[in-house]
Amino acid sequence: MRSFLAMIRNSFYEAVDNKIFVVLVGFSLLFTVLILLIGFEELPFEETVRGIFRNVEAHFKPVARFGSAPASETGGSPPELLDVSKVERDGKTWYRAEFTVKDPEKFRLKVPPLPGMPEWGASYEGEGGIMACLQFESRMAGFFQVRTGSMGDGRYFLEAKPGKTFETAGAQQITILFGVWKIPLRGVTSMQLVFGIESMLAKFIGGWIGVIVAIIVTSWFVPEMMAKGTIDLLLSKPVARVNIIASKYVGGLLFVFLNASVLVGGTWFAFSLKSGFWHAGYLGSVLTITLLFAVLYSVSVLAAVLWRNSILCIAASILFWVLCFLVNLANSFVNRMSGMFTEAPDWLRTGVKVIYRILPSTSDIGDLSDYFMSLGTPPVGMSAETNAKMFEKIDFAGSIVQACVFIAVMLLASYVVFRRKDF
Amino acid sequence: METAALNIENLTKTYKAWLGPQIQALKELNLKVDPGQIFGLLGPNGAGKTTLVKTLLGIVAPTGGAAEIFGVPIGRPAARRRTGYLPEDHRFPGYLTAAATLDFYGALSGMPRSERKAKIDAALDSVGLLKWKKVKTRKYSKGMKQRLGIAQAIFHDPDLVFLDEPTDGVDPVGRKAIREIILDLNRRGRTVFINSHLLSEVEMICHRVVILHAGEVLREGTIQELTRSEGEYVFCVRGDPGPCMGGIKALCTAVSGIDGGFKASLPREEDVDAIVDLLRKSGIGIRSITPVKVSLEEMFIKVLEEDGAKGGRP
Ligand SMILES: Nc1ncnc2c1ncn2[C@@H]1O[C@H](COP(=O)(O)OP(=O)(O)O)[C@@H](O)[C@H]1O
Ligand SMILES: [Mg+2]
Repeated sequence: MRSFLAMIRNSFYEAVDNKIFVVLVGFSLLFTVLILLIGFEELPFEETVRGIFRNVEAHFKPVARFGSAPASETGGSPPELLDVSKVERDGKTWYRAEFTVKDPEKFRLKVPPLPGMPEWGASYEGEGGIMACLQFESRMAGFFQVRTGSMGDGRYFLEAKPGKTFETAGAQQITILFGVWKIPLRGVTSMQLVFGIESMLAKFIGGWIGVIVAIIVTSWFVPEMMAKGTIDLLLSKPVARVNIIASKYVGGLLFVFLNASVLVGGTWFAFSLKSGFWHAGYLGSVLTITLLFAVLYSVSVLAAVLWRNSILCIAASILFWVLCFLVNLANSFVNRMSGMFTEAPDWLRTGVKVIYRILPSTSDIGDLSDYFMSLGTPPVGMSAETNAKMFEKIDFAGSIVQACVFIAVMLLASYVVFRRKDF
Repeated sequence: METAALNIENLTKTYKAWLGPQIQALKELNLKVDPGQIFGLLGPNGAGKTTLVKTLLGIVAPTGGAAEIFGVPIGRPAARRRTGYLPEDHRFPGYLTAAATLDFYGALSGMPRSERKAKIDAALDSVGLLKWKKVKTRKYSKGMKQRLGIAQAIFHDPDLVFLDEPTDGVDPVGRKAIREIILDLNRRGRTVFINSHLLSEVEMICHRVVILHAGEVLREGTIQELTRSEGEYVFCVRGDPGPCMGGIKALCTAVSGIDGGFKASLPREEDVDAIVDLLRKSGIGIRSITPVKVSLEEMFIKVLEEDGAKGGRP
């Protein structure tokens, strides 16, 4: 145990000695500081409501909008806002907007279908369509209870009660550099903005770039240890070889875990502090980043004991990652083919399935990150049930077990190679 | 009976390469080292010295035979509990300072933290590296690395220390310091196993030596035993031994005159007495009779040549 800890501490020194470790931690801290410079402010509620109408207006332009909003195909002239006011109802504040629409019968909106989401894929027409559109946009802006109605003479009203989301996230405007630059948020709440940036940090910065950098940095841990003159001394100590391999592996994991913790923990804290949105699900990405790395690093360790060359370790782990991605793609393709097009031949389906079952599912690990993110905070415009439905088909427990088995097999193979090796 | 520090029986190591020939680095080697000795393993480059030490320390797996270190079969981590090792061409992780290096390898050798902390300064001081305690080893010269290597090898106070070419790349002053360290270990009852091709070094301090060549033991014994030239004596005399030279020549296989006496090769030890009698009878005084010694180096070369003639490894 003492030697195990000593080996891990040594891996840590090795990592810290490496400038890249400092650079990585520096990057994470930089992100954190940048976020701390962002202010989240509440916009006057009229502004918020006007924001909703601006978004509705956008549906009257014949352009497909990007992002989560529906693509549109509309005619007629957009609604005109007459008045915005606050009303008290059951002791709660509602926002009330009155507006006119000139030719409601010309309104047409088509929402493209999204698999698994029944609210999408509808088309709206006329007056009712405008109301639905307003309801949708209100929800996007963080209002979860919405009423609409007609007051006659082409006059309508919209009443919206800020939901819990809106109350906790509150702000609708961000300021950068202490108010030098103010950006009103349109179509998103600050919570959604935070959610979006955190998703990007978790999946892209941490889960992709971070993992690649981690593979590169840790690739020379084992080859360096196995260099002539270093390994002799290490093996001459009363430490079993299995412990040497295991501690090097754990040392690498710890290195990535620490880095991921600094990145995710720092940015999480900064966002939470500034926006008031304490999004615990984001912290789960520390685990998914480490798990993904754990899978790839086990490949790297095996490559290291086989070839003792860090470039080959990097190549092996990255190629393996690409392979997992391709197999995953092939798997979803042959499965969809059976439903949508013609049946894929049996041998192909079985073959792909077998490989898919053997290899750890790196895409499931990515989805697991999304799943953690969405816990307690379903993404924009989605109810908790719809969100749960998105993930119910994915067998996370199975994928985690599969990844762990794969890691165990890789490490065992590394040990078998290392055990009888002469140095 | 005290357990031997090292007991090696029929140890064999054949390196198998993917391509190319197999190399038999150790051939059924038998060796015993008693505790408390300074033991020298001599041999030309490629003799298998390093291979032997590596096999004993579990760095290389033997292909045959067995060996024990203080009664524990090699290969088990426990066999390495009481050993220290200075590898030839060792390389310390460059990112560690001298203090961290000792701390790391000390911990791997099973030293508790408090003990490591307490002993680091003294250990570095003993090899003259105290000033460099906080400097990363990648900035060290070869000699400094070697000294740190020795400090590392004895830091955990092992009972058996393997030193593979300990004076390689070290200046004469450094060599002397290393010899002092080895002698000090020996005074404290530790066993020291030195691999070397530098014979004079070994000659100065080793109790017993083995000459290894092409994976086989050619000679084994104390320095005295090995360097005594069989049956050669120098007689220093008062007066001219000329008159009785005829009788002396009859006893010897070879005689040569030297200043103040002669050198004689005698087939039997009793013949020394016979020559003394002859000289005394002729009234010639005897100043001294000394068995001729060859230097270890001469003996070494001779032994290797004989082995070469016998058809050792080309
Ligand atoms: N790892 C190895 N793989 C293959 N052959 C080796 C290896 N190490 C040493 N040898 C060979 O074994 C023989 C003995 O080498 P070594 O033990 O280093 O000798 P010495 O230390 O006496 O100079 C040499 O012929 C050498 O080439
Ligand atoms: Mg050698």
